[in-house]
Amino acid sequence: MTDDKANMVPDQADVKASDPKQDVEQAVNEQDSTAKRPEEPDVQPQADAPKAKPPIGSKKTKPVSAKKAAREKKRASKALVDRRNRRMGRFSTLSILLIIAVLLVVNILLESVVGDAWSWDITSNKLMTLGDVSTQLLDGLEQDVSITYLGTEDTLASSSTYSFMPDFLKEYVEKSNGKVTVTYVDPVAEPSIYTDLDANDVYNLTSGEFVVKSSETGRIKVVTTSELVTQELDTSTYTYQITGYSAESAISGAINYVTLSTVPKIYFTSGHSEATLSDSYQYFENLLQNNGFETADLDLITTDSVPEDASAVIMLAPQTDLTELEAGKLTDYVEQGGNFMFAAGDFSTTAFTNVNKVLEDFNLSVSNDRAIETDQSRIYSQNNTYIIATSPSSDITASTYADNSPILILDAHYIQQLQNPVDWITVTNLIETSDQGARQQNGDEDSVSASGVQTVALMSENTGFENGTTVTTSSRAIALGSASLFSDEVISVVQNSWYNYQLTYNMINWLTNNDASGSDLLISDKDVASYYLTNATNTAPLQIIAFFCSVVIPLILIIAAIVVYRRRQHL
Amino acid sequence: MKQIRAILKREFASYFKSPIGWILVAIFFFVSSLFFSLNFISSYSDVASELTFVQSLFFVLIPIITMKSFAEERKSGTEVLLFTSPASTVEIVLGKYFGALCLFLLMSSTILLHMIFTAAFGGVINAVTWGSYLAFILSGAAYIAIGIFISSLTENQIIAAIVSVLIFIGFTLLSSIASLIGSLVTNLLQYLDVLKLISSTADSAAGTAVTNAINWINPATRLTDFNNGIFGVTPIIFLLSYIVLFLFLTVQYHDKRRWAQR
Repeated sequence: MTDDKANMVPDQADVKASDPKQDVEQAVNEQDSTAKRPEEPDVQPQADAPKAKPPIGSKKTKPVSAKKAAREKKRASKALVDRRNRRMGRFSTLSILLIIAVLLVVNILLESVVGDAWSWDITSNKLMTLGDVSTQLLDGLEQDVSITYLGTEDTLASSSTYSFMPDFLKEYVEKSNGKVTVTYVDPVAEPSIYTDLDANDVYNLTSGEFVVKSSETGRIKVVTTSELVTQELDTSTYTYQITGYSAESAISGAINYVTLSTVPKIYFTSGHSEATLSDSYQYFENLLQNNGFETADLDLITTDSVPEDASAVIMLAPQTDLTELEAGKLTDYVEQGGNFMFAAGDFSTTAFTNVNKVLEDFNLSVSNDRAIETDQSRIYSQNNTYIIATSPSSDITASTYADNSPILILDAHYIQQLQNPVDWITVTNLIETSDQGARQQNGDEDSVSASGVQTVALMSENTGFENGTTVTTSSRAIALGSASLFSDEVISVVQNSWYNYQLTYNMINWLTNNDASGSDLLISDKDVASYYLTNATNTAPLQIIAFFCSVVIPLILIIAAIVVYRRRQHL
Repeated sequence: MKQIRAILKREFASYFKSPIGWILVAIFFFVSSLFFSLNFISSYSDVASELTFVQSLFFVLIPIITMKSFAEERKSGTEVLLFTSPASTVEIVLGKYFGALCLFLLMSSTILLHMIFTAAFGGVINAVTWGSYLAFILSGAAYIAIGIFISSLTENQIIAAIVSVLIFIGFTLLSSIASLIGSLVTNLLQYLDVLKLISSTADSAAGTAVTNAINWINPATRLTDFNNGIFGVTPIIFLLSYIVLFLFLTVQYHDKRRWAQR
């Protein structure tokens, strides 16, 4: 930088009386007048010039003192200017510091006093705001819960899919009154974080995961990023598009899980070609995990009995029946207060004789008949085995079921109520067809029963199990004609707008007597706004506009630039 | 006000009296429209994402817009004429700032055009889109204020542009730097605390506080809330504060130069 042109003289008209320059000029003039008149020429003594005689009557000139006076005048002037410049510099620095301080104070005050009050979630589905269920959960939170993201906040915020998470997690901190804390720890910078959170390396933590931990129970729940959103492959672009946000159910579910005093555990039987949760029941698996259930496999052949910590045993879409020995172990379990759910897989004529022996205690039976629907308005995809069913009012549906809210169930077994009416067994219809439903006997399309309401799911409670002479406990059972009720195939189609998801959740809570969390903890995914153009029936106008915007207009602007450039060359 | 308008007009017109203004608008139009068009022909349009993408052009475009504002005047010697005009330093700085801002707004109008096409074909233009657009404009306005200040420090336009680019890149990297500094503070505290007087939680908290403090001053991250659908007043005030601060610094610098004597 050069300061050659720094000595700029302002227009006199613009210079006001109070201007520092004027003050300085006045001061300089005053000082000059005391030393020498401005119009007086400087006397330049010359060493080799002959000494001129002073004129008669005039005072003796002193060239040395004149030179000294001039030098002093110059020095005084320079000192004054330097002082003035320093004063201006100080003033400038002070004013800069002052404005920085004022701006900082204003911003800090605003942020601390009205920061959150003056911010609004403007997303159409209130994506960034916690729903009532989570708010209620956080209100009642009595333990300190830490959420640790294994990575930097910047990484998360700059992610195209998960950039909403840092703001979303702030909601948890704010609405929990400080009970929930969120920290970002980069495992690269602090590798010890893995052992700090999971000393025994049980969870095999990796970067990019959220670790939710309760200080009181010490329980940990790891939430992966894949649990935060639901994505589907867009076959037109071969890219994954977000179809819903499940972050709230994942994080709130994790908080609920880690703070529970006891965690209900559900065992899934194995050894009968059952479906696995991770295979085609991921929605169901997430629902269980997010609502505080632990799951485990149960091989009834190798174990002596059902473990004591089982809240329920579920047989999920088996292809073969239980053995008599297994049925005996299950019967022992339910007769001691255990709960059992049978969810049939794709319809087959396999007889579930031993399963029915267990269900006998509940007056339930899985038949070999296939339920169908003949009311065309109650079938899905023009297939009479794809039934748009309903749920009669029951303990399970009471507060959450809206009339006519549809339930999609595919290829279901007819579930029969045994005619053994006793006071201590209460059987309730859970899912049924319309009154135009029918049954294909043994799955034979040509052998159809008379029309009438067909039950495809029943729930039953037996309150009369005795130990010798006294009633010891009650137990519950559900017989579901088709596990498609909560399969990925169905849930991905019906999402939250149908009753499948809510009903599944209510069923599990009822089955496991899980009244602690109640049926209010179900948090549905939030749908994402679709950015597809709805009025674009023909792609031709879109292509024209795209060409116009990305080629024509930039080209016109470049031509204009060339014209301007050529004109300037000829100036 | 009259002086500001006169300087604004002169400054804005100067961009188009040379090829630079036309080329800048053309580049912006081309890049943003390319992103828009690639989605648009597939019957898809997410303007908020487009704004996030286009914001990455700030590093190049804004330094080019602002590099000439004061540096060129100084190089060509017209600075003396400007500062001996009846306009005050504040008016000169504001005039030049608004001139550059007008060029930026002209470039940003491309996005408005895309919004119109999106809405015409039944696409989503919602509050999040407008929030993102506001964030985009505010970020640009703040970066221009910084660029103008840098331009006033030198008579070399290239140096002004390079310094501006470095500063803008610095803002982008600031979050990572903040996290590193935070870790450094934590480790340093743990190292110095031989007697273990401070708990490791407190050490971590100190590191996190340092990280948060550095992130707090970063204009690049303050408006991400808007892109996520959170409309807040405090980020707007923060960005406006940035603009005020850098314009004030520019005024102070020129005032000092204007009145200083040698």
